[in-house]
Amino acid sequence: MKKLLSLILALALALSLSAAGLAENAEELAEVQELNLIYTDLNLLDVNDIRNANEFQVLTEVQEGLFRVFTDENGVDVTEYAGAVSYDVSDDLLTYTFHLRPEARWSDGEPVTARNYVDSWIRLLDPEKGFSYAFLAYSIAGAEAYNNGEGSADDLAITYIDDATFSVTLTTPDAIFIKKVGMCPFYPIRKDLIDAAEAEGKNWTNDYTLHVFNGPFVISNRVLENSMTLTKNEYYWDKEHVILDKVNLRVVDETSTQAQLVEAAQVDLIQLRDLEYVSLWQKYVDAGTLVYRAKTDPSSTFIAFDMHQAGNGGPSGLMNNAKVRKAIALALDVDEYNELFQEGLSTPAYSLVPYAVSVGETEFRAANPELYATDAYRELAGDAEKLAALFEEGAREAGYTGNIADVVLTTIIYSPTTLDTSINEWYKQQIESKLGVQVAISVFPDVTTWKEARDSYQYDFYTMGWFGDYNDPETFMQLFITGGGYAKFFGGFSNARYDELMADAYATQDNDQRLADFIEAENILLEEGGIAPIYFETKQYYAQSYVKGVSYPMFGADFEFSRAYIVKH
Amino acid sequence: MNVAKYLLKRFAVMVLTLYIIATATFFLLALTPGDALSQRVERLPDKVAERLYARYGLDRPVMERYWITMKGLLRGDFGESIIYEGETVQSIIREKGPVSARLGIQQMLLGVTLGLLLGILAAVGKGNVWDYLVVCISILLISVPNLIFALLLQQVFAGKLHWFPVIGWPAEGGWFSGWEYTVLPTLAGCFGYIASYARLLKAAMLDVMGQDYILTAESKGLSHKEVILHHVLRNSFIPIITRLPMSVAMCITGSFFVESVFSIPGLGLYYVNAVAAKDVTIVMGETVIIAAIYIFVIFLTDILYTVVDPRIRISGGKR
Repeated sequence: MKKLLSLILALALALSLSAAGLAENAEELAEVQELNLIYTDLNLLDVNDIRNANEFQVLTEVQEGLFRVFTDENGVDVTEYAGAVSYDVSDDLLTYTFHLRPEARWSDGEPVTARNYVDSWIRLLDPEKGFSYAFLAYSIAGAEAYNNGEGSADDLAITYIDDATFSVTLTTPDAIFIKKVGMCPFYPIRKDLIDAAEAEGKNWTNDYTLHVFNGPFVISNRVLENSMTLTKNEYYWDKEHVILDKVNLRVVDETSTQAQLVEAAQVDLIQLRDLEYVSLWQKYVDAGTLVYRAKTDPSSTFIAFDMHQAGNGGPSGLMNNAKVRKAIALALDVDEYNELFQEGLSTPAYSLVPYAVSVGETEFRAANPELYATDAYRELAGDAEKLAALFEEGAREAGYTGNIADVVLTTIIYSPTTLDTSINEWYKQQIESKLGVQVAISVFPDVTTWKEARDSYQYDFYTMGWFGDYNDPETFMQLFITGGGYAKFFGGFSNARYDELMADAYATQDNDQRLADFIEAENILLEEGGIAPIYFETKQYYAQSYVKGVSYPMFGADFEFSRAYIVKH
Repeated sequence: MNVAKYLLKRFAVMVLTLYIIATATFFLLALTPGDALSQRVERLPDKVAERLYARYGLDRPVMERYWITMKGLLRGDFGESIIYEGETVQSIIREKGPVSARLGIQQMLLGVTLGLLLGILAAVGKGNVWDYLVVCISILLISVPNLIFALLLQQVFAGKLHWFPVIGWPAEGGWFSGWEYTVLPTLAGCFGYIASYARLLKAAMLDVMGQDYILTAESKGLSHKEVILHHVLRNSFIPIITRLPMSVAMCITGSFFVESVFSIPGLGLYYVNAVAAKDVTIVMGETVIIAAIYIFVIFLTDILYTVVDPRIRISGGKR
């Protein structure tokens, strides 16, 4: 009996051992921890002057700010403390004090101090530099005036307290200030190195050898417009979590070459540009060699109408009428658009703010279902006669007395690709067939002439889009505030109640209040036909199955690979 | 004395040509709408945008910019890239020139060698199957763009057969390192040379073979082989030798498509991208430098003519 028992025990032990062995085997690390990626070369290595997605991608991995964003197993963004260990907000919600991580180091061994952050934030606002993202810091007292060349750096409410602490004071409470300061333009800088390089007339902006890094990796080699090598930063405070030794970035222009490289497993992770490969690569996904991942992009593509006072309703003279605009917006079958031009992979839009953007803990779209997707609107959109009647009603209100069939709506595009041309032809076909008007597509050879046409209001509508900078509806909603900085690009929408709601949302820290404000404001924008929603983009990623631990955050870098690793394959 | 005078005159013409090219390039660039900054300043406050324009001098009148550019050219200072801040034409050529040169020279050596062999084959076997084969190959090679060859080679030999890497270029370590990276790009770019040199040599050889002195040589009793090697070939090489310097000059300017497909850090790709991005300082600088090289090579070619062909003499010269 005893023997039998021990035999059973031995068997059980052996079984459990082998099970454990299997589990271990599945996650066994490969000997070579290298990640191969495709990228577009950076225009510069200056965090304050960052402009493009490719720069966000690389600079996020080699530098570090107050926070770092990963995604959990459900793909939800998780913000972790990085350069900071904590922060306090004063009772009046105006003063933020940041406590920095004492063990954080630059790649030359120097500590990362509050001085580095203060230098960076002041430099970001320097009027002589003209950095694109300076506006993100405008809620800091004195910032906007200084950046416009009217104030002085001495009046900026950015205060160095000691090496591990600094504080800033805002003019008014800003509920999302903390989200903004986690972004690349607010990363710390080494002013001593910049000054030294500039004094010697050296090229600090682009010469990686003059830089030091405080992120998980350092740039160890770069060939302009060709390749870049990142290697593990031995001075990184959290280097235990960095498993990759090396990341190879290559510039590969041809999409067919990119595909060859993925199929030959010479590229480990790619964001697909040519959607054709989604169906071509399904066989690799089925076979388990490639892992497919779709990521909701915080971006919104829509049509902007000429609603500027000075534009007098565009060439047709009708664009100041909300019924006209709404009829056009509803005439476009955005489901068909998605099938035709996005291979059915993106999300057709019936509103402005994309999915997954949230106010506090509440997802905005869950709290405010898309207005144009509601039954009443769907019914109207499905009835071409009613749409045409709505258009005519609006046109008459706008004082048009002629034949509706003689109305010509003008859209403007520049240096169009074949895809752009087909999209505009599709607009034309949809609007002409449903509203009984004519659409003229006005093509410009380049962006400059197109801008001239736009600024002299020679259009009724054009396609526009916006990529959200931070996780809050405000990043989209601010585009339509009367006389706002972006009004020029988005048609010049103006509505007193909308402005009131936005001002209210800015003035409060109460997320419920803000959510209510945003909901009402977005619905006003749509009721007024301020935009014609088209789609919310979904990005397509393919990774080799041996690549694990990659995060795909919604904002900042496209993907976060600092904790990625390669398993045996 | 006459030779010195001739050289001096030629030199003056060279400088004038270069000046005209620089001026034309400048005004053509100034005439095209748009500039490198327009995209970047789109969303900046007006004041900030103005300051950016002032920093690159793009806010000044065209004529003033012209004088500043020309004065810079005299000093060899072409200015800083607007796209890649801090980079200059010199730094870019220093970095990318050798890559394009290695690729170009490999393509040329292979292409010219094969081209000459095929040319001889066609001329010697005039009218037979070899002749027609060479003519067919030449027409095919010259009429299919090398982008197509590049993509085909990549797909077959790298993608399917895995004989060579799909993309890449030896990082550093001399002219003979990492040869496996260079095989496909070299092949993709050598076809133009094969076609043009094969046809050139064939035509020259046929021309020489019709000359009286070849008949003389044959009637002396020399074998066909000896006639071809000693008389025909030597005299047929005049057009080849005078064409070679031009091919060498073309090497360093790089080839856009091949560099693009194989992701090679060369000059050709960079130049085309700079034009697209309206990076005027870089375009000006590269154009002037490449033009200077070409002008010098044309001059060298003229001198070479007189060396290889005693029938050509600098005008006014006496035997």
